[in-house]
Parts: sequence; C-alpha cells; structure tokens
Amino acid sequence: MSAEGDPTAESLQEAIHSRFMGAEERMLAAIADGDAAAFTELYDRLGSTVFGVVRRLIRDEGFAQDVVQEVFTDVWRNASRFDPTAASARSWVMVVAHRRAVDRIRREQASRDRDERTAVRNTTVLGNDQSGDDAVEHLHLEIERRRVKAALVGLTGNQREAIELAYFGGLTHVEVAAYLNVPLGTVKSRIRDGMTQLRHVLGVEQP
Amino acid sequence: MTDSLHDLAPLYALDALEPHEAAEFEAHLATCAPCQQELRDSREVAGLLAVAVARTPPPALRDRIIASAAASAAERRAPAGVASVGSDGPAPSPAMAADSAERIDADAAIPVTAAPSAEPAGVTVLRPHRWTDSWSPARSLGVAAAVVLALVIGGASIASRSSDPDPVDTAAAEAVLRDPGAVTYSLTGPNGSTGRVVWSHQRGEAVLLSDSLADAGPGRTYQVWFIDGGAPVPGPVVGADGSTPFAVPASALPATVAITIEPAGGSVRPSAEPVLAGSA
Repeated sequence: MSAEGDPTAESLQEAIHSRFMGAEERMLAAIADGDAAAFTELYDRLGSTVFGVVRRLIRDEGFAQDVVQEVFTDVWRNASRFDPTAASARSWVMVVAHRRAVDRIRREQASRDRDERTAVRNTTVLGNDQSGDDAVEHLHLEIERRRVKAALVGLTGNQREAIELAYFGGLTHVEVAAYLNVPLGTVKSRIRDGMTQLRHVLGVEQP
Repeated sequence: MTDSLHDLAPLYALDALEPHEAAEFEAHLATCAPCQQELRDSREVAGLLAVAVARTPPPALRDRIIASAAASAAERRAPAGVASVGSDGPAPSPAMAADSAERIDADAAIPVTAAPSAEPAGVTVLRPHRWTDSWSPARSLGVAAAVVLALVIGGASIASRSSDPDPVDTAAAEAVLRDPGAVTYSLTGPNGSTGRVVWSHQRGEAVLLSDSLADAGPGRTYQVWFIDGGAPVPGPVVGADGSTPFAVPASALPATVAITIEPAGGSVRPSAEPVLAGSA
C-alpha cells in the first residue's frame, strides 16, 4: 500500500502508537526489538494471568506449563505484529493463551470421553475455590480482580454459568447447551447478554 | 442458519464457536466494522475475566521461559550469516524454535486491509488558518488559537491525498500527539464507530483520529462541535476527504466534542445527530 516507505506517515503513526500505549504495550514494542529485559517485565506482569487461565483449562500441571511456555514463545516471536490501536497488550496475549489452551484440550478431547472431561472441570470463579488462595504479587492485579468478580456477581446466575463454562471450561456453546441441557439459542443469548453487560460494567470501550 | 453472524463476536472472543461457525464468522468479520469493534471489546472483557483467575506460576517456569527468550535474543544479536548459527552460537532453544504451523496471531481474524489503524497514510492534517470573525459564536470560549485537525480516514483518503493542494502537516499532528499534557477525548457513535480527539492545550491544537468516518457525501462535510453546558459551539469544518482548511478556537477544554455531517461550508447550529461524540 501507499503507506509503505512514507516516512512522515510512519512517524505520525508512531506518534499515535506511543500516545496510546501503556506500560505493557510499551513492553511489547520493546520485545519486538528483541529486548529480553522487557520480556521479563511483561512476563512478571502477565504471567500469573496467563498461568491462571491455562491452568483452569488444562488440569495437568505439566501440560499447562508447556502451554504457558508456548504462549510466551509466541509473544516473544510475534510481538512486532501487535497493534496498540487495536487491542491492549493483555487482551492480545490472552487471545493467544486462551486459544492455545483450548486447542490443546480439544485435540485431547478427540481421544477421550467428553462427559468425563466436562464433569471434572471446575469453572466457578466466584466462591471459595483456589483462585483466591494464591498470593498475587501485584496490587493492581488484585484490585482488578476484585472489580471483575464484582462485575460477575452482577450477572444472572445463568449468564455467569454459561460464560464461565465457555471461557474457563473451554466448551463451545454447543457443548455448554448439551451440558446444561438447554436449547442452543438460550446459551447464545446468555453468553451474549452477559458479555454485553460485562462490557458496560467494566467500562470496556475502544478508546 | 437463522442466527445472524452479527451476534457471534462475544462467542468468538471466548473461543466458544464450533469450528465451522468460527470460519464463517471470520469471513464475515473481514467486511464488518461493527463486528470488528465488538470483537475487540469482547476480547478486552475476556482478558479481564482472565485476571479473575490469576495464579502465581511456579518460579521454575519463569526461569525456563526467561532463559529461553534470553537464548533466543543472543541468537538475534549474533552476526548474520551461516556461521552465527553454527556450533559457536548458543544452542537454539527448542521452545523458541520456529513452529509457524502452530503460530496463533491474535490479529489473524482481523484482516489488515480492514484495520484502518494499520494505514498511517490515511492521515490528513488540516493546516491552521487565522481566526476569522465569521466564527463569532466561538468567541464565547475565550482566547482564540489555531487548532489543527488531523483526520485519519483509513485507506479511503490515501488516494485523495496525492491531489490534495495542501501539504499534509503531519509534524503538527505529531507534536500534539507527543505532548504528554494533551487530553484525549474518546468519541463513539452509532454502529460502533469510534474516534479520539487529542487536545494539546499548551499548543492550542487538537487532532482528530478516527477510522470510522467515510466520505461525508456530495455537498456535505464533517463539522466539529464543542459543547460546554450551553449550545454547541461550532468548530472547524472538515471536508469529506479531510482537506478543507479551517480555523477554530482553543482555550478552556470543552466538556464534550462532537462531530456531525453538515451541508458544505458548515452550520452555526448542528443540523443532525452526531456521528461521533464523547468527553475527555
């Protein structure tokens, strides 16, 4: 395209990027330049979030760790593809993390009993499960965690359940419907409505 | 199927679609800006959900991952050429070894051609002109100063720019964007359109960034409005292709900035609902 090789356009684009980049986004930009220290910093900020989700989706600790390593390998190698005007760094990393973990369990699923897999998975975020027991080193993460949990409390039980089964259970909406024994359209609506409300409550809007 | 593809962004963001549905949605996404926006927002929500289950990973995992990156970084620093990957160089880490078949790109579902932010050439900066009395309502804002507007219209304006009689003043827009004290207004409109106005009070200049504004239409133009409690104060007229010069006041930061489509030449009062509006 005509954008290529236009130094003023590139320089303006860079100004746009730098303006809207937070700490994690800057780290990704530095990683794109091969900065290993920035990679360590980013791992220390996002590692627990990645590990938490992957560990939810993959029960086997060893497999889960493998996937976490794959995720950060991806981050290291593909940081230059990150577009800070299109996503936050966390969102970008979590897309990779969630999809890799889900791909892993769906591959496994081919050779296993679906019901068994579903039955053993604990997807509840609220309540006294392990998610609250781990020390989280960063205060901002703890504050954010409380905010998210409060937002989840605001959903109906059905909405929360459907979203949790999908995101933390790694189920497709068809699998969620089968598991809950409710019509497909019902699950879709619960997920959509719940996500819409979370978007509003959490103040997520493309800046 | 009876369900609309428009409804699938939240499910796609949760990786909760069946494979054939995901493929259909990805094809649809390429041409649907509102769905691209909803997907971005839904992914931000998913990223926040993830925070709810954050757990400290084992220290050994951290060591492994960081050592692996460091080894890979050393490889990058090594002189280019066959020798650098020979026996003298660090052993390529298995973890960092290319595995492109399995690579997952978070942006893969949003084609670059449909993501205007990837097109820096779609930037048109309108040059400041002297304040004129014809903008009298703007006097109510106080001291006048020139405002530069940069209108970013994805790839649409790239072609028109070459025939633009006014050189593009990217330097002015850059200066605004790089002012650490500048204030950002987040604008939203119907159908998920978005934009931002970055206002450097110090420089008395503002920049409008939006990838959501298509051609305003024949005989029509975009116009900026400043709203501070009372009636909207008319701001600069922005040509359909962003090429019309203008002058506007800049003083106290208005509470709200809005963009409407007006008849060419602009209006003293908005004649339509805003296509974008928002506050700092």
